[in-house]
Amino acid sequence: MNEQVTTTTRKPLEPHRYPLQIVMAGGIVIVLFVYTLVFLVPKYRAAYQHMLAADSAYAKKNFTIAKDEYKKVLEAVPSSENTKISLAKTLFANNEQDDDVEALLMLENVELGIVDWRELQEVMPENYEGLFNSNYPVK
Amino acid sequence: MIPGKLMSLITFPGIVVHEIAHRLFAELLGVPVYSIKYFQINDKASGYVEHGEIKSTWQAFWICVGPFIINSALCIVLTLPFAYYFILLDGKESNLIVYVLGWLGLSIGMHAFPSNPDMKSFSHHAFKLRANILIKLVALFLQALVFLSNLLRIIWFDLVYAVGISVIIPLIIQ
Repeated sequence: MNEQVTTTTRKPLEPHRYPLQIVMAGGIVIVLFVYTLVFLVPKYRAAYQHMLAADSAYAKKNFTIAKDEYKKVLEAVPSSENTKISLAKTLFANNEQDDDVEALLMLENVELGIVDWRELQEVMPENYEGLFNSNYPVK
Repeated sequence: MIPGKLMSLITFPGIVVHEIAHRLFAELLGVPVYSIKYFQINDKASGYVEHGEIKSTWQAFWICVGPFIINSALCIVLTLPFAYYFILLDGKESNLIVYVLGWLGLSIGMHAFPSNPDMKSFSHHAFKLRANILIKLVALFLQALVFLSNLLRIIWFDLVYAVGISVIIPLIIQ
């Protein structure tokens, strides 16, 4: 803002009266916000809580709970790549071979950062490493 | 680097809210407002508020920091779905409304800081109205802080601030 001070005898604007387009824009924003507050935010908040619960369960090596919680996150946010990577790590880490295919499918089209790749290598059977087009060195 | 005018155009809702906040605080404190430009493409200023005489340092202070309070609060609230979906849950594609509110919220948050002329005005009043030494020191300190934050806009400090405050609510109520 460039604040300008005037001492003339001009008539001031009527306090708290705003142009129609600003009032209308404000109204539209309020409607949109209330919509998200009712329909989206509760869903996302619950998903975030599931994510925190899953991370905590994974850290305690409670892979069954972590797996269920990560799946609940993906139900709300199917495009979450971090969650897909975390779920894949959980599926590899629980040492159930049946889950390996699901973990590999989970990582399809997911771009892995170097930290993700290193963490996956810690839990993934070595024979799967060749399936990835990773630019990062293997171990 | 994105030129300032283009950046102002992209984040114009933040400028509008910034000017409304100055006006709101001026009127709440009984300072008459004579004219206001909510947004313009101009080399000098993207918006301005022309108000009457300020009679106390407190009036000058609150009119100056009004946008910091209003813009920050609106940014925190409006970016709520955006912060959950994109920042905390790493979602990749969402409802159009989430994008719109995210753009609005971040634009508003990016214009939370008082401008250098705003801060100069406060310091000017603090000295002109013979405030006590503590208020004068606070004025000088805030002026330096605002000057620095505006300087750091070159490295997107305004955007970093907006993104940073957007996750406050989700992190508090987790």
